[in-house]
Amino acid sequence: MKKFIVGVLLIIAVDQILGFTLGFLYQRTTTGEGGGVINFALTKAPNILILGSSRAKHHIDPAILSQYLSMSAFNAGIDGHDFLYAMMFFDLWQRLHPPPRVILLHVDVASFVKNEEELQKTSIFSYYIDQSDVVKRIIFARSRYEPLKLLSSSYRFNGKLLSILKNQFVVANEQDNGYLGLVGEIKWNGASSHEAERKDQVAPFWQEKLTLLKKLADYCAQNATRLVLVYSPRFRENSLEHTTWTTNLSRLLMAYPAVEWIDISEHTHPEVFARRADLYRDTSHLNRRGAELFSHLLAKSLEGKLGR
Amino acid sequence: MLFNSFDFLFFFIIVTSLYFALPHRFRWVLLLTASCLFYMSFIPVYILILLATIIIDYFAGKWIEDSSNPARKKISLIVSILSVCAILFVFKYVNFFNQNIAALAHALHWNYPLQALYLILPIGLSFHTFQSLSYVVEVYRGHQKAERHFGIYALYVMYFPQLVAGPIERPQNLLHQFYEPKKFDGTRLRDGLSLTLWGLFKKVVVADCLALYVDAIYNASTYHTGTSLLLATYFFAIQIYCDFSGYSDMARGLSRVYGIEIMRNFETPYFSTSISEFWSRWHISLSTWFRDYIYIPLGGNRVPLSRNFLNLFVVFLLSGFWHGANWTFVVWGGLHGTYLIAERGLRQLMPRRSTRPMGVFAHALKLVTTFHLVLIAWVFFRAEGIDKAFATLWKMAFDHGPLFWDTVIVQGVLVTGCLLILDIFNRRTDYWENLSHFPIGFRLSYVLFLLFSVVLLGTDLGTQFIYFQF
Repeated sequence: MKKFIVGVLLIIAVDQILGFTLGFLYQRTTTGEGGGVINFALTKAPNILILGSSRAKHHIDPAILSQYLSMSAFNAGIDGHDFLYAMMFFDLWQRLHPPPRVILLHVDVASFVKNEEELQKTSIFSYYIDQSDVVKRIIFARSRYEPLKLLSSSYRFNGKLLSILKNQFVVANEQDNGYLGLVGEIKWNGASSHEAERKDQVAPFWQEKLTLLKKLADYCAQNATRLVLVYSPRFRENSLEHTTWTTNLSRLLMAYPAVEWIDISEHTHPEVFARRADLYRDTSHLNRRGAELFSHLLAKSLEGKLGR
Repeated sequence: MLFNSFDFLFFFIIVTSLYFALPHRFRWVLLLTASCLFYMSFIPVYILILLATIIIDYFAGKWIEDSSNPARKKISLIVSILSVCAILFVFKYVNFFNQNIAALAHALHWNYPLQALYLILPIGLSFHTFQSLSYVVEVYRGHQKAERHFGIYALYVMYFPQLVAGPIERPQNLLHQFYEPKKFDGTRLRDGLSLTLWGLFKKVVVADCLALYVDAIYNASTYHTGTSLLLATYFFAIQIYCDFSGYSDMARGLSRVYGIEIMRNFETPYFSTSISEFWSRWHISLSTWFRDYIYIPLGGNRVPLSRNFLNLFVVFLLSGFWHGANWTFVVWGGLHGTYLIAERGLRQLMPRRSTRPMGVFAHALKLVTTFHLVLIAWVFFRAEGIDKAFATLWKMAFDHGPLFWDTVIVQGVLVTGCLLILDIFNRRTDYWENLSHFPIGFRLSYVLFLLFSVVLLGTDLGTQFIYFQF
């Protein structure tokens, strides 16, 4: 029995030491998919904060927005994540900085839907679990055993060890505004006249995500921050799906009169984006040229909304 | 309920606590109930299939032993084998035959109206079918007394640590252990849990990590270069070894906690210097099953060489078919059969005269050659179809280009290196069987290393074991 207790205490001690050491090293990282990108973005305090998925990261150029609106902007969009990442990141960010003037939240058909893969990926925030209730609530929703697993200090760095070690030697460029234009064009011969079929048809919205949206909307209302939801083009988008989704979203936004909505897509701007394979990197992402066009249109639209 | 899940952890803690709290006479009830619950956690209704197999072979065993007439004994054996194989056939092979007959009929412009049966394959069906069959055959041969206690016999087939992916146990090894009273033993608990942790390390740190790259490449093999496919195939060789041997180690470790020893299923097979040696180290419980119940009854080595070659080929075709109802597995088995025939043929042509041990270079050459022959066969095992397997091999040989880069490659290489070092150490010292001979500091460091590797590097997705599908 004595040996058993000593063994358990030893495991706890090693866990704490590892957790502390990795936490120290993690805080120093400013790049990398293991979470360094979060550290870097948390240091930025722009007037316009851009949140969202890879479509936000590769479509919205903060430099163009700054040029039109004379306000600083930073793109905190990230590849492979979506709405939950945005909400978790923002909850951490707002504890460190004064409210921004504008929040641009890039949303998609699947952004308000329950997505298990998206939920699993939120483990990127495990390090911050004690710093935010939103982070804790979402991570605990991953599985019923998550609270138990996270009793371990070192488990918070599960899957991040090599990234943390590698990124000790990589420093982020301070001038980086978060935007990354994509290179390449989609290959399309223009023969098919049919719209793209997409499997993620308009599914019902997840209440947990709507609660988070409400929390963000309340924050913006209290702090005079303009919250603007943005939608960007997809190549040959299914018009029925788009119409159904925008109708659902408009219905939802009726409950939040202060939340604004900008839809710049093939359906709203066919003269710019429809059947223009040269503006797309793939069916979901614009290339650099497309992103510039999109950012200009977005900036003009915001200019009108913000009265500048 | 997978071994690499928290559900299983709690299940195991509860069952183990009750096991040692209960008097010996009730333990079989506990283990049987736990095994039923464990199996039903996958697809509950399929326990009925297992029950059917158990009932058939339980009564067949009794009839074989009770009958004094050899003809009746034989009839009981044949009826039992046919019935159990029929269940296996319906759930595993009927669609394969149906599709192939339909394809043939279509080619001959015949009308073939039979539709496919959309049945989900019960988890581990091939494993417990073979375990059950080995019991009946051993009773028929007189090597094992028929089990009169239905509950104990059911437990022999259903014992949860090895129910869904083996090792395929023999009645002589397992049945008597259920009757032996076991006292709680701290050393056994420590040894069992350490071995389980080693298996978990292989599964969640190595196999699941490599699977990320292998799946990304093989699931879109037409889009990838030969270089990426080659790396993915190397990774797959390690992945399948760690996935399956990891499960076997966990099964042995968990069972050891109860004081029930189950057979070793792997002995560092990639360090083999010949294909025959490989098969004496890879999935030992299956290869010995085929040896004892198919190969030897066909005549074994005591037949003319040509007949021996045919026997080998048949056995390996069956072994491939055992793995899955797909031509890829048949080719995989056939390829191994061909390797063995070639190896045996070469030995006949060039018998080794010298008794001196092999030199380091010769040893390394043989080891590398054997590994790569096995690697070629793995392409068929992993590919989605025969055409894709051949296309993959062609690309690997002639169509090299940029490597599909993923950060998981670095981790994959690191954990594979780590695994090989530990495997060499374990092999040289027979570590898991001789734990007590090592200083406590060393044992503790080893366990802490494995534990925190699982915590920090383990894939957190709770992925299934590859061999569950068989």
